[in-house]
Amino acid sequence: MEHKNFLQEGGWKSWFVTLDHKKIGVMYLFTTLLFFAIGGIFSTLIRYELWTPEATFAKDLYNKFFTFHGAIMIFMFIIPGIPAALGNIFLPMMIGAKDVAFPRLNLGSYYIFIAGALLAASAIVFGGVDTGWTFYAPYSIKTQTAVILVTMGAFVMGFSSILTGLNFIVTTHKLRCPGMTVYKMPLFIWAIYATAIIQVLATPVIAITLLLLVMERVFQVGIFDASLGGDPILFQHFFWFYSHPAVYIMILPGMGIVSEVIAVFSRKHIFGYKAIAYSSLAIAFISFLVWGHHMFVSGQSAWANFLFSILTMLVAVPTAIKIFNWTATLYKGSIVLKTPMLYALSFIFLFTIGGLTGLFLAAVSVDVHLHDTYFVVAHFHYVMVGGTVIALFAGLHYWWPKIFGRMYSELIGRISWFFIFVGFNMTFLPMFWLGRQGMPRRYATYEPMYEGLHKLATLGSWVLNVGLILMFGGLLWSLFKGKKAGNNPWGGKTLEWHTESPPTVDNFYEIPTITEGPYEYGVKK
Amino acid sequence: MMSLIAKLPQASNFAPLVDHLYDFIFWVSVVSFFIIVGMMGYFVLKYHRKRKAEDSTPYIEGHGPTEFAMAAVLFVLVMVIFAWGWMDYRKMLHSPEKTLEINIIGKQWFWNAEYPNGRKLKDELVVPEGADVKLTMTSADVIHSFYIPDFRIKQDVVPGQFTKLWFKPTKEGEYTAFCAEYCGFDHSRMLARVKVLRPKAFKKWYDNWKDEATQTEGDLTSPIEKGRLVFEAKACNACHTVDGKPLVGPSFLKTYGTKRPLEGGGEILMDENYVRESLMDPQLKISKGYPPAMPTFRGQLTDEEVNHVVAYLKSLSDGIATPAPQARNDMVQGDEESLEEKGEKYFEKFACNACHTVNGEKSVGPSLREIYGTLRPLQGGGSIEVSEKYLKESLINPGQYVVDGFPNLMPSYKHELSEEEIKALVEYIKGI
Repeated sequence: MEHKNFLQEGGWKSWFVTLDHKKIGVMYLFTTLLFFAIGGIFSTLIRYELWTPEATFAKDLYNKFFTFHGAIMIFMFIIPGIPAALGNIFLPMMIGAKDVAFPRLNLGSYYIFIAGALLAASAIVFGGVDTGWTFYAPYSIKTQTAVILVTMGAFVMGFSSILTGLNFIVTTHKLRCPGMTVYKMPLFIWAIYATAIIQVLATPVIAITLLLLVMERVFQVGIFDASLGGDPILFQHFFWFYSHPAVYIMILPGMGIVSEVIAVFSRKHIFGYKAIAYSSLAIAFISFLVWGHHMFVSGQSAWANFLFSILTMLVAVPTAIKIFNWTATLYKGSIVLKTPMLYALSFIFLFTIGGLTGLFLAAVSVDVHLHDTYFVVAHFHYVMVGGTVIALFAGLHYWWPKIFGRMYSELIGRISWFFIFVGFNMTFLPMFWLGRQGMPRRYATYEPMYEGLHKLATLGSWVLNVGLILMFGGLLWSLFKGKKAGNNPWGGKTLEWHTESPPTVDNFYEIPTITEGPYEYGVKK
Repeated sequence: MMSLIAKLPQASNFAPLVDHLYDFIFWVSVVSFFIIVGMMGYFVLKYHRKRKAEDSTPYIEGHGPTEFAMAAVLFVLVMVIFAWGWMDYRKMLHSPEKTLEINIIGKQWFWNAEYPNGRKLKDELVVPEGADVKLTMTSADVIHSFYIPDFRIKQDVVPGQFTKLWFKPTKEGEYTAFCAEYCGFDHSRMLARVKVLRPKAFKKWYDNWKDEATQTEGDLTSPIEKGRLVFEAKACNACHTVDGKPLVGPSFLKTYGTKRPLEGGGEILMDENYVRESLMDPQLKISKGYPPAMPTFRGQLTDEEVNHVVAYLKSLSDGIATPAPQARNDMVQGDEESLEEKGEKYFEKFACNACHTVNGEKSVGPSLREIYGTLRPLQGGGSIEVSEKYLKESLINPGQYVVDGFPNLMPSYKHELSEEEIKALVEYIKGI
């Protein structure tokens, strides 16, 4: 064949200066998965410490472990994970474009991300940091650890996030192929688009916040530090004004993947296309108005608690609409439980638990009891891991044949799914009861009454680890030994399946023209 | 397994309220979860490809009315949960008129409590069953959070302001209070024992203390009296009277707890937070008709002293006569005290003893017994002689030379200690 695929083109050196969105996406994919592994090692150490009520490591070491776990997973894995890796590869392909709107900016974003990540990771060498990923003032001002390195790292990575978001917004607006009206866009594109808007609008706020924190540490300007006349609660307002929308930066792309996978593997038109698309935008909008629910017991005004509680409850509506629509898509379908579908269905299972437990925390009086306990830890992990990470795994298996031209092993895929699903629930389900019984979070040592549930959770984390190692091992194995994949192994209707596997550098031999929507499955009456 | 998920005791008036709503949401969640996952499981089994051919699926784009109905039902349901949670929360906000008021100060990593009669407790709280208790809390360093799971109550304890928490203990017994906001090294050991006594037993405990105290070194001065002494020692009375006559500044007779008109319009309730703000940032909200002449007392008053001033000002509104001055108090120090003696007091006041013992036992930090003039090994190699200069530097910049084998944890006291206080501390440490 005269056209080489994008992986073969140019030799290994070309990767460093490539402008090809697919190569950049693959680099993001491996970088973020590497950080996922590092963050995972820290989480295993956390669970190891909590095996017994007494301190196993020095307590300050434990505090650094949970800080690294949180900061690495949030800033270096989940936020860039789906949009910058899978989004980069599939946004142009799914809208019938050759590349993103600004390929150079795209490469620049990657290097900015790497620079920020290295800056933050260098804190491991320079004494670590022990503030938790939330950097609450005034502790983050008073601690003697390397707060500045990590906050500056997150600051730099923020620019990568903003630029990627900008790139995606312009790409979605300007580069759709002929015939692709907004309502013919795949739902993954809607999700990525909603995410990009939040990235561009919210990230500057965290940038300012982190910069102020650094100024506070270096020059003692007195914005957050009460002993200098500042207000520590102000930091929380700034921080959550970004970090709450950021939670939706993390979950929306996952929802996009699930919409694709469920339609393809049940051979059905997605149920309620517009409802799903607009609920993404609704969630993106409401996400800016709920940050105060992180501060119900901070001493902020009762009136603020009233508003933030009622607004938070509203998030339940668009979220439930999505869950309802995915489930309804299965109705009268022809369902096949390949690995991506197993993950997509697990997503519904786990994310429903994550969403419902959010109701407990949105009700102010119940939150007074559950705030800052393991209930919150469990809820957050059900949304972020049970939701986002599981969706990422669905997408990874779903698009693996397209990216690399090889099939993953279905057997290993299913076995590892089983371990991950069981291990995850074993780790995090007990935490709801821990929190219910009052176990506060970020405790290196704990009262003996909590020991049984902690032991169960630690055992679960090992089961989960077995599944993860098996899954990544299987995927890497398939790169060399996997069966050659056809161009469209799942019978998908979206445009990426009309390219070669792996795609050629320009994706399409000629720019396609669209006449029908992305989910035209089934017999029309 | 049942013991793993045993029910938490309901030991306060709020516990049944919170549990009731918790159970309601729990069952709503269980039902919703089984509807969704049940539907999913049923569809997967019924419409599996083995039973349903790939090309036989119907073309369904959606169904607006079902979608809308589902959203409407859900909207009503979450609004019910919201309103229920809000109404219970309102009860947590508004404490009854008459309460037992206890001041709490959170410090890395312990809790100090002070009762109206001057009794102080460390990492312990004793309260009477069936009485309304109100905690007025602040922090001396970073944010903490006072949390008693068995009472279902929690409130962050924030430096630079007062937060409040009230409850009525309903069951005699011993409970644990946790710090729920991450505050560093010993966060997970920042616990306090909460004892709920029968009213009679509490009264005995509360009153008997005076006898115990006179025999030991206990300090019988009430917070109100201490506040009066601070008021005089810091010369507040140079500008503020307590008899209703305005001087340079307003008088404080019967002003606490009332709304005060402000320069430039508006008014403000004179409460703990306004008193504290006016001491630290006097220019922010000026009483109408008075010049903005007051200097700041930032750095000159401890959190405890602010609490005492508040107690004193509050007493001026109660119409309670201020008690007669006690012979002994530790607020106004006589000149006859030596530097070393002062240092010993500061050692406790600034909670150095939370991390450093004086008896040779290792704690969070090294013991300070007989260290002066010795050589200490340093982290990262080398050693340093414990000199006056090194002790002083360790207070101002503790991260510079960390003794080997101990965590680099100590906060800087640069802004908290005066030159004088540093001198006294160094003098005291030299003699341990």
